[in-house]
Amino acid sequence: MSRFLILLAIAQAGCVGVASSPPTPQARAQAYLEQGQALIARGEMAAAATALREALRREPDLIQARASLGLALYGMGDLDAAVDELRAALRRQPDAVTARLTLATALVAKQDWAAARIELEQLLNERPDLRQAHYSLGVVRYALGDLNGAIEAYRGVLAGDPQNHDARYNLALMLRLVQRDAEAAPEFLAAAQAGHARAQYFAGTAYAGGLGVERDLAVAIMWWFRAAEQGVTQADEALAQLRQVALGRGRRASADRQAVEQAFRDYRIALWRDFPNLGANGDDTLGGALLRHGRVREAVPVLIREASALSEPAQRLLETLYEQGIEGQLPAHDARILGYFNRAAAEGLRAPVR
Amino acid sequence: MAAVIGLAATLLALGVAALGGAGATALEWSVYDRGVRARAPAPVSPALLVVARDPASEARFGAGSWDRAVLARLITSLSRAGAAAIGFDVPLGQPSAPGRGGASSDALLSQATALTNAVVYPISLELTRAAPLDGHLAAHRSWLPGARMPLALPAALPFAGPLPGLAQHARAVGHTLAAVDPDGVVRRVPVFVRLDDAAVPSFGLALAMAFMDVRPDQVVVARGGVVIPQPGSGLAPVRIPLDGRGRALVSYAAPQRLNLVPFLDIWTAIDERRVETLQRLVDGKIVLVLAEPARGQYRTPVGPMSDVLIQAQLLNAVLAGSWLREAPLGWTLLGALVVAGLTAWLCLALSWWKALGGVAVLTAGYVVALLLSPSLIGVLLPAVLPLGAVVVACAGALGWNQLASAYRLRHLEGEVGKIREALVGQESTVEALEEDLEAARAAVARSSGAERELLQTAEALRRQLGEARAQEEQTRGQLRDLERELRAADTRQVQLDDAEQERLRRQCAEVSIITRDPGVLALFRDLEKAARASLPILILGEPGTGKELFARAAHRLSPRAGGPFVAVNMAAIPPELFESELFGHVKGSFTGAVAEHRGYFEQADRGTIFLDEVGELRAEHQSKLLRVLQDKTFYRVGATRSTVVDVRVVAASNRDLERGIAEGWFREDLYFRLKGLVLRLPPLRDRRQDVGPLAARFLEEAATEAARRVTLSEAALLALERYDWPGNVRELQHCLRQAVALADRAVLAPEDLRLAPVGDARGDAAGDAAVLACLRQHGFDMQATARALGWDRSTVTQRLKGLGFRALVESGGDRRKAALTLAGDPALGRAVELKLSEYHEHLLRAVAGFDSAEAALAACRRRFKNLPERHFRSLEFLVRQHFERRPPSARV
Repeated sequence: MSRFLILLAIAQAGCVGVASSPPTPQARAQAYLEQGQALIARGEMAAAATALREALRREPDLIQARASLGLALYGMGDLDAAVDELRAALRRQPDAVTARLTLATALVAKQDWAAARIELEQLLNERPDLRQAHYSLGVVRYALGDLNGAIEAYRGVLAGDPQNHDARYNLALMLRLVQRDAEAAPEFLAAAQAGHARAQYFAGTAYAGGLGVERDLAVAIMWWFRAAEQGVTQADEALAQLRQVALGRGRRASADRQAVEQAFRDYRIALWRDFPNLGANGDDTLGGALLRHGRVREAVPVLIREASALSEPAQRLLETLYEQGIEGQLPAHDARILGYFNRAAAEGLRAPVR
Repeated sequence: MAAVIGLAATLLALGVAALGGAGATALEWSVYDRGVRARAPAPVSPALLVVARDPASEARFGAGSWDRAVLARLITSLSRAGAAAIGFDVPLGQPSAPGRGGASSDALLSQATALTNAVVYPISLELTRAAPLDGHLAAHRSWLPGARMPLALPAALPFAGPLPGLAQHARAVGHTLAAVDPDGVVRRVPVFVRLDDAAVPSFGLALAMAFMDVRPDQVVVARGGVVIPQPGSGLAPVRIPLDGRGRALVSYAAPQRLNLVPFLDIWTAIDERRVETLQRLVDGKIVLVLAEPARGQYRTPVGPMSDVLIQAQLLNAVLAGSWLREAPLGWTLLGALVVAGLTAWLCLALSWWKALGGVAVLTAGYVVALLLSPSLIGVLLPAVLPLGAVVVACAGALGWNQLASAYRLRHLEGEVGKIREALVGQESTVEALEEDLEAARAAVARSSGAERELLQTAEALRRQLGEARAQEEQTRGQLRDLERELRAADTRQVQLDDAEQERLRRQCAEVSIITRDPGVLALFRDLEKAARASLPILILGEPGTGKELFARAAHRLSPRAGGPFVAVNMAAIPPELFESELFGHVKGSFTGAVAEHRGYFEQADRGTIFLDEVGELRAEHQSKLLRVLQDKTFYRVGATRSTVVDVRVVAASNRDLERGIAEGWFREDLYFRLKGLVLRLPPLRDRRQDVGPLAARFLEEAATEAARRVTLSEAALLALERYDWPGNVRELQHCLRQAVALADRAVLAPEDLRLAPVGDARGDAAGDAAVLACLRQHGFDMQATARALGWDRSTVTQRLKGLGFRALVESGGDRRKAALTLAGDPALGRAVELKLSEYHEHLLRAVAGFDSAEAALAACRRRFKNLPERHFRSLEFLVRQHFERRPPSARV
């Protein structure tokens, strides 16, 4: 949010910079305006509002000052006052793009979705290239229940900025919610590939359920592991549930259990693909291989991942590592390994480490 | 009549119940509401678990709507723990706000819903909104085709449906509409509503169907109820009784008795992965999660409740099988008709207190049935319509009784008037026939030649006379009966119970009225009630029946008791002093007005004026009195300013004022001004049971006066009771005083009382003036005058005939003038004129066959032999005048 404010402030300062030199009676107002905008850029909103009010007292028609005051008030959280000032500025200068964008942002913050939608759509009529406005319009249209409109808005963002993964993830969500899974899955995958944690979870879900992609539990496990490592609890839950099935604790049929076991196995094998220079060695673990090559720092997370994927050797290796450590490379009682043991114990996989 | 009143009362009560709005509804349902609150614990199903948002969970997840990611995790966990069906109060169609997880959380929820296939959501529908918003919702697989519904379902409109994914993944979707009664309380839930071509089940029913694993096509809907089979479970189908609009009456259980678990307890178990705890709580159950912040609350018989909680009550009723049925409208109307008809019959057939008792028993019986029927037969009987119909029927029947008796009274009064007029004519006919008979007998004595013919004539006349007498006697009897009936009707046939009679007797004794007669006591009770108001009272009755005592009682029982009571005998006021006496005069207003004088009305200011003998008032005085009664103001004689008085008027008369109106001697408007309450005091002969107590009192007074101890023998008392007492109580009092004064014995014997047969007790008041005065006093009623004078009626008739002939001579043959002279009072003029005309016509008929006045007079000598000689001169004059005026051609 603060980054957005500072960008707006800089944009406004740019507008000021090109203004012609005022006559002497307006010089002070201009000085206050510049001071106010500088304060906004530093994040000192209250002081900025005072300076901008001074500017307006001397020069009530100074549109930039009013627009900046609206921005400062929005930054202070006084949304109603901000909306009033920004609307006043726009009445005098309807083509003030920055002021309208600020107004739309303030209206979104007020959850006045309908008004925000009007402002954003008007803004995009004039400046179809404003990606921020497209994104906000996507949010607003969703809040109003217009899912197709939101899809269109997010596509608008991506047209100008294909690397905007948030927009892509949101586009994928909209598509999922309107049951267009075939279109949603590639978008989820693209965002997941780019490292978007929740997109990784939904990519895993798409593979687990065969939603828009061919069903592949091993790939689903892979995405869920990645999401879980980024703190997505739903992914963690999904994996835990799969482990319960694999260990025969759920109410699933034995075919399900075998399929899940196989998926975990496939996943463990797939892990080797990230390390092509290490040759897969029978029933050995990737973590074990890394240890043998002295790559202890990489070995521990890989071992945890393998143990979480129900690898008994990895589990045992972790226990040994935790108890003994590796001279000069890994101290005993490593916190990461302890964390894993505790999670596993909570799941009922192993007795807690004493 | 009872059936008609019952029907009218039912229709009226139906109208009132239909238009009665909130009040009528609240009254109608008060029994049910009380029953729901006070009933023995309504069954609560163990298969339902309600997970409710609580302050602790709000502290953790916030006060508004929660992040739906939380709910998604809850759904997944509950499903894994074995919940058979999960109901969420998250309304479909409302996306998450960006600050509450936004689309991401909605997608999580949608995904969890899809994975578990056990979640039931409520759908936001409106029954009243005019137009749906966009985002129309497609029919859900859990809905029934509307064509399968034989019920008139309320039509609903969706107003949002932007999350079709969520709806499609849901196991079922149900509405949460509640039927709000006009008093604002929700007692019924529409089990289905119509949405386009589909019948949307209620949320509670949808959850039950998901729990029982019943497909929509397995549900059987018929008029009167829904049947949900339980295939595979071996259990009997669930039956839900519905009313005509497809609504089920919810049998509320106290909300705190439902199996409630705080949300945070469940969440903690999930967070801490306490799988067994969770399983123990939810395995095999319906879990209803109330996660949304409290929206609008409805009023229910057990307190305020959200729409989803009302659905939880419906669900509980489905699971526990506890239902009530409303009585159908047909039964209700029939029941109301029966009780209203019965009530009307009771009120029409029985005396009022018995009727009220009967109605009370009937009402109490119905109320008992009302209270017991829900628990005994599971049917809720209506309250407002039958009880309202009872009240209306009771009031209607009592009102009808009043109207009927008032009509009867008027009818009887009319009959009495007619018969009186007929009686005057019959009296005259009898008299004329008597005279003709007498003439015929004389002729028989004189002429033996014509004896045979004359005997036949005499016989025919005798027969005619006998018939005429019988007719007159019959008319008199009829008149007596009617008058008795009139009296009875006038006292509204009041039947007093013993306690009331005793109380009234005591009250009467306090105002010196001694009576045991229920009729008099009823009159006194009326007087007691009327006394409190300023209503004028008119007391009618023969002389000596206690009119003044009643007038004084009216004064003493009124709020004016502290003011003066002024009794004025209108007959005793000389006509020329009427105004001065009643209204007073100012000094010098006329000769002899040497000082200011306050009239009776002024003396009675803030008190009561008793106008006794008001029937004796002259016509011009009647109009003056009327003006005072109308305006409460009058002018003293000679005064220029009016005087205002606050006086309560009690009037009395021994004359029949209604007859006075008919005959024209009493002003009708004055009569109506005086008759606020009319008391007709019966004569002593009609209440012989009062003779004993009255005699005892008078004897005691007389004995005290004479300083002796005197008592009555049994025989004397019997004689007193048998005597007719034409002078009523006053005569009784005088008789006993005289007996005490003249008898030496301590125990009075019948002969000491000197009770002569009626007629002999009167001296011969032979003078014409005395006879005329007596006639005037009795309103020219021959019988009454004859009784008063102790004469034979024909003697009185001959006297009046003589006086009439004389008056005709004096008035130059003007019957009206002559009648007025005789009557002395214009009020009696008409009655006298009728008689006089009859006598005159009879005389003219008697002389019609003669060709000379002499011959006619000779015949008249014989015919009118009982006419006093002094009056025969007048007759002679009239006959001669007749012959002189007759045209010669008319002479034989």
